[in-house]
Amino acid sequence: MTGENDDIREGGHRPLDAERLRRVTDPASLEGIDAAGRTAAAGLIGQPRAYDAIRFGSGTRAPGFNLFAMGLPGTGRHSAIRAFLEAQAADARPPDDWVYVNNFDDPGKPRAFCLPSGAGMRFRAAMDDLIADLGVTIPALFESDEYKARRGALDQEFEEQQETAFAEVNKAAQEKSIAIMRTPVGFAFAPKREGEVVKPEEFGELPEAERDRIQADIKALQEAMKQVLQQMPRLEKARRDGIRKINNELVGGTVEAAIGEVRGQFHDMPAIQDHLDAVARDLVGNLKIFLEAAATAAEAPVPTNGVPAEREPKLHRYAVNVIVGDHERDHRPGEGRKPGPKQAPGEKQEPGEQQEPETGEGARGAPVIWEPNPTYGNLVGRVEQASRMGALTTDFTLIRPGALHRANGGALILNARDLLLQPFAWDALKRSLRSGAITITPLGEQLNLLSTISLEPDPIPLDVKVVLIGDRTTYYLLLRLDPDFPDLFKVQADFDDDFARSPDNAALYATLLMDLAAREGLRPVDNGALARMIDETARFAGDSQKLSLQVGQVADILREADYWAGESGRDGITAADVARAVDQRRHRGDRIRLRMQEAITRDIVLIETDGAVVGQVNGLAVLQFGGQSFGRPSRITASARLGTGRVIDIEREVELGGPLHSKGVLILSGFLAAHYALDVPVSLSASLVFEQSYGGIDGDSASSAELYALLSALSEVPLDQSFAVTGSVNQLGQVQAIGGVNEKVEGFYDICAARGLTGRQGVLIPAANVVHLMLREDVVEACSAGRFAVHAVHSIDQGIEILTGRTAGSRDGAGRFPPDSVNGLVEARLRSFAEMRRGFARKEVGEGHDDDRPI
Amino acid sequence: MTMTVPSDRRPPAPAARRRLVLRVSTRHDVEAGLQTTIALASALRGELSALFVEEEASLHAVALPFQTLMDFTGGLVTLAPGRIETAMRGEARACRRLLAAAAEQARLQWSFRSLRGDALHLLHQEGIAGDILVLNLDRFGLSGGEALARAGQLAPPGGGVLLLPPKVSRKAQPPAAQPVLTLGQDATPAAPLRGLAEHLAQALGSPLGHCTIAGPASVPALAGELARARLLLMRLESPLFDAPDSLRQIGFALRAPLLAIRTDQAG
Repeated sequence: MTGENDDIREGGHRPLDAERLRRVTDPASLEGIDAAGRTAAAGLIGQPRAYDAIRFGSGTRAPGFNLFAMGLPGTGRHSAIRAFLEAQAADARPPDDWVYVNNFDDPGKPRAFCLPSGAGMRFRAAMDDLIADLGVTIPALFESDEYKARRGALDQEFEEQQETAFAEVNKAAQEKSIAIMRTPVGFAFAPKREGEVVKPEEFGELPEAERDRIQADIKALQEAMKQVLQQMPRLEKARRDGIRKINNELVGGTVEAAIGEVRGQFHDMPAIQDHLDAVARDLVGNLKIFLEAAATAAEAPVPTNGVPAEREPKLHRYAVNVIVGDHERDHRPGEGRKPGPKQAPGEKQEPGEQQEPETGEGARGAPVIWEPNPTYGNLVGRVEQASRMGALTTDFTLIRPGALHRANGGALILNARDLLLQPFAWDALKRSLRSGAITITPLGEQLNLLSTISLEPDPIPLDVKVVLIGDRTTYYLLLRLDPDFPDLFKVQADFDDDFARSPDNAALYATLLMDLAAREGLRPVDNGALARMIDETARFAGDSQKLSLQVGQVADILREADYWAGESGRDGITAADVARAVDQRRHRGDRIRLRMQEAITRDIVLIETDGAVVGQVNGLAVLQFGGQSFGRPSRITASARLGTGRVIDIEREVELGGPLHSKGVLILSGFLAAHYALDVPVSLSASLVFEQSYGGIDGDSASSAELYALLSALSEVPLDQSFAVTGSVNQLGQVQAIGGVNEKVEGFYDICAARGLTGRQGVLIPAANVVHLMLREDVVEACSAGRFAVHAVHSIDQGIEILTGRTAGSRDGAGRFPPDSVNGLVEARLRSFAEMRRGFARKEVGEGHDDDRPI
Repeated sequence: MTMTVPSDRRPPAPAARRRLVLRVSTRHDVEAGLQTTIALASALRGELSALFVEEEASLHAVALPFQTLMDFTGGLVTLAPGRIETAMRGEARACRRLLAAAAEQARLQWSFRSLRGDALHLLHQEGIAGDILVLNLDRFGLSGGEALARAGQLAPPGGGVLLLPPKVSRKAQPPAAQPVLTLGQDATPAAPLRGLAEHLAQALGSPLGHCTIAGPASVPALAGELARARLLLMRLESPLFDAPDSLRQIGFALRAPLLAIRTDQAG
């Protein structure tokens, strides 16, 4: 501890000097800062540990060395990580492209293969051109005289075979005067006489031999007819084979020549060569697709040049779906997924319709992808479905990449909370990282919710660095509850909340702010404003010797200051604009504080700010509403009487006190037992209460106030109500640091100021909290003028002297406190309680009772 | 049974409107001949009258004591009593539906009757002056030559007979590039036939052509040309109808619809 409290130890009880209430940055100390020179470092200021972790985590490619960046929101985790990774990725080798193509043997299982970076889009374009060309060439071939002649000859041959077969049956039937008639249920056979069918009654009159002959003839004809009918499918098959043969001979050469051009472009890529073999085989077997497409195009209201694949669904089979290519990686910071040029946000892409290739900055280096909406589908990809004729169908062209696809070969940044809130997304990510592959399984199918046709695309090997950004609670919960987590995220990058307020760091912060202003087109920031901003940054940190690394909050103040500078007609941001931004921000969120303050100033909530009362002290609490926090005084009272050594915490009794508050009260019992009347049992019954408190209370920051109230009640020495008190206490009577010291001091100041400052009012704070003081300027001014005071205390004795104006008192050589001291009066009261209790005990023993239970 | 489209849905038919009378016994007959018949009816601004015939011959045949039918795959079927009549009534309903849908799509007036008897006899009875009777030829009924030979007897005054060979049934509507061909012994068609042919060619969007049939021996050489025609036209007054051999050859080569028409009163 520094010598800042020496005056208190000397018994002077002097309040803190104004300069210790708010550490102010001298604008002159920021002269000569070169924003441009320090901008590069500004992304990760004050985070050397996190920086090392990111560098290590992103540098090692071993499995499981993914990163979890934790810290408070607004500490620049995202932008810093992204900037670092992008800078690192810029020099890295671009990852391979991945494409999905049709599996002609099993269309339900599309094939995936990788191609050198950039080749995916070229391959797709080449296949589109190929199909467009064939869409013109093939129908033209079928219109040629050569084809028509060969096809006509084949058809004629088939028809003649049919005719010949039926003619033979017909001829035999005519020779035997048998009629063959087509009826709705089949062919009927009947004898004829003179060209007319014999009626049944006439048939019955025929000689039996004649009837038998006719029946035999008909049976023979039926047998012949059966032979003919049964050979029809065979003839038809032969005809189809013949057509296929003609097609192969006529079109095969053309197809192979066209495919040959594509082969030439990708001669060094075996996967494409294999696929083209399959395409060639399939094309020749499915020429009718081109003919149908040509017929459709001919009927189109607008003439089309060729048969674009996307217009004819059946031609999708030859398309190439570039699942990862240059265009997939062209992302700007914060954009997340980007719709293609043909596609408005939210608009669904039609089957077969694909995005145009893009080139640009994103095409260079390894990808760094930020997925702001990490749903299951956005993460591992999805298989979309299209409605055709009222039915949902899909094919490989409707496979859509996820963030893992786009980040493959680079890094993927995700918000941990967003990820965990998305059903099945976390499991999908873990599964992908564990297996080292991205497997697209439609969610509905995985849950057996849908029975529509879907696909089972080839998994794609995964090599990605995943960076999760989250808070510490999330990190430690995952660490404790998910056994996979430590294996998959082995590197933690822990972002500090603040860093030391050294001159260098202040200058560094100033450069960060200047850089921010330049990037966002804010007005120039002068040194006064920078200094004021740095002061506010320390206030955000709640520590005059620290600077908050929650840059987001600080940046918002600067943005607001820019607005107020504009309102004031200034070309640059000044300290006054920053001050106004801070005031206005407070003003906007001030309604609840003012209502509470009003309740006190109208004496609805009873808080004394003058006079002296026994067993009553002003405690201080901090309330938080959204982004605003403020201090509020609370009256704490204590009462004491003879008892069995219990200190009753009324808040605890009614279950409004939290465990830390209860702990603080129990410490008071320990303090009393250890400090006073050591030779007699503590025969006290005391109760403590937060008056007019109707909500929960926790924390031990009021324990010193409670002790002051209790000591006052025991000693019957009144406490000065001009003061408010904060600080926790230990069993030794030492006052310990608490949180929210600035808000607490300001909270009491505001009440006193509203009632009129008397010059005697002030706040007792733990001496350890002096370094945290960054009080508002109006409070500092009041203190400087002697109208308000902040006292730093180390011990209860120091505090009680300020509050009572009496000496606390120390034990003399005989171990006794001075009789008029506060401690002496307390000890005397406790002894008297012990004596009274002893007297009661004797009386009760004599009457047969045993109720003496020392604490 | 006769049905016509209500008069409030169709304008009244002009007095000179031609009727195309289509004889059907199965839906196969309708499917086979409907496109050509409708195209011709539209070209002639005519109307369509379908005559569903419950063939007496078929009923006699299935009533024979030993009769079994053969279905279209070659399997033998034994009919329960009354089954053929039930099937014919069902077939009539199906035919009527098909005809109605096609005629209304082509905006043609149509009617449908169902009769029992001999098909050719009923068709002949049904025909009135100017009618064109439509005959679907199948493999087991009249041959092309026989049908041509009977056309002169069947055609009503000022009317004609449209023969639809079995091949027509398997083809879609022929492309417009296929010609309308007139057939005759002369180098050019007679004027009345030429007038009708020009009108039909223009209406169908087809080129017009003429084939000279010098005699039966000349027909085989013309077979390919005849097969590629969209419609063949012959005058029933042509001397060819007095030359059975030529008619037989033409019938044998018949692969396209042939309209044999009386031109002495034809417009």
